[in-house]
Amino acid sequence: MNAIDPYLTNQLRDTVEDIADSTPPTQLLLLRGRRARHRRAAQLTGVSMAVVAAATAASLVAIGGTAAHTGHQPAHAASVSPQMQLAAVLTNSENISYRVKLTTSFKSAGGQPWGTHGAFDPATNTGQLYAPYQDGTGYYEERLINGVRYDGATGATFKREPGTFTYLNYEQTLGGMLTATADPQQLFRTLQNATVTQTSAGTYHFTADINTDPASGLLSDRLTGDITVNADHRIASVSYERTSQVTKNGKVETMAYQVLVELSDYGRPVTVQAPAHFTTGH
Amino acid sequence: MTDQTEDLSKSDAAYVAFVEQSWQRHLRLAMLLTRDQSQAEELLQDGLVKMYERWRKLSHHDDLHAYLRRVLVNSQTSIWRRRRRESLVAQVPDHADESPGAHPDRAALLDAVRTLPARQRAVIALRHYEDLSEREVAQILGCSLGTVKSQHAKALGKLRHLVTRPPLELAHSTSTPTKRK
Repeated sequence: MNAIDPYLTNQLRDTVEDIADSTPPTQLLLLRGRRARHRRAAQLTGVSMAVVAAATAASLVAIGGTAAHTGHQPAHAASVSPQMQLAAVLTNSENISYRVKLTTSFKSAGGQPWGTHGAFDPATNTGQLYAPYQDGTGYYEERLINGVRYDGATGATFKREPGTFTYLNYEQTLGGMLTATADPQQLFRTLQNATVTQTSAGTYHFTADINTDPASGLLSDRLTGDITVNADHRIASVSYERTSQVTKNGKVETMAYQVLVELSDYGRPVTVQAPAHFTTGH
Repeated sequence: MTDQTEDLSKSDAAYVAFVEQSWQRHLRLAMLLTRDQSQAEELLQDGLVKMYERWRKLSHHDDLHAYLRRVLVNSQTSIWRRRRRESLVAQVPDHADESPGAHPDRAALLDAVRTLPARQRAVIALRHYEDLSEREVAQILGCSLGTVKSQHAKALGKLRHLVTRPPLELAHSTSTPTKRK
């Protein structure tokens, strides 16, 4: 060893020994770990991130938007295509507050349905997502208040995320299993690519193929589902199945999961209280 | 003591036991690898979450502490590389928010260590704090023995400049965060 070594060694040890003891956040680690496992499972089923917004977009179309929420009526079905009818419904559902309930299950994994509920007001960037953990041992929670986001979980102190946000972070709250965005442009892009048929008054069937990236192992990604429209000509629910083909260890695997998104209480104010205690992210 | 209130599975209970056993020890290593205690805790939490994901396989691992050590070092190196690519804080000295005020020479040493590139910092931490051999350090870092030797020599060269100064000069050179404001 170099002559400096003993001094350096001793000083380093003394220095870090000065650091105050802290309590391991075991409950938070357990919850983060479980969430990471879910995210990992989601990725393995090809249900990953970026493009997932498209699927959920079809369901969460009411989240954000540019159109006025005047409740205007869509054009009469007789003169316009189902795509145009749906586009009008989507426009009518945007830029207005709502309540949402998501129920998700992995068909391929035979898992139990996983429920999440929340609310969002795009006008004030205020909302909340509450995701009880599947095994009932805890929950994740996200609060967004005037763009300020707090993430929390059972037994853990809330963490305030740096910056401001205009949407709820479904990806994080749902452990990567679903994502959604309040960006209406993204919603429209997705729906523009969907094939839509009207099955009855106020119900539509759609199929959408999502752009894939073979280099990432995702070979195909298709959404098939049904949309129902409420009496105010806004989206009431979207039920869809997502089927993805992925390559894993040189083999092609087909994965599928089912999602039901129910939207309600359009226009009802969304009030969320900031957590009393929180840490600050960096 | 933990904030745990839930019933745990056997696997989770083993994981919690490992966390409680390893937290303080590895927090100190993380302190040497990062800039401050909050970053160290975040690094350690991320590492422990990664271990949880693989816990069923890892629970039979011979040396979980060695595994966690490797995760911490590799994660911090990745973070450093990413930041370097983004050129956000390249070449900016990593001064800690908190310093061992009662020991300015230690504060100076810690500051000096934190100005080292990530790999050199890791070599110093693993060699001098974890007391690992150069060969063990090479295994953790995934590089050759020669690379460890050269990185170690470079790091010592930089540190020698600081730590061999007389204590008074050291104290003088250790400006506190409040002074820098």
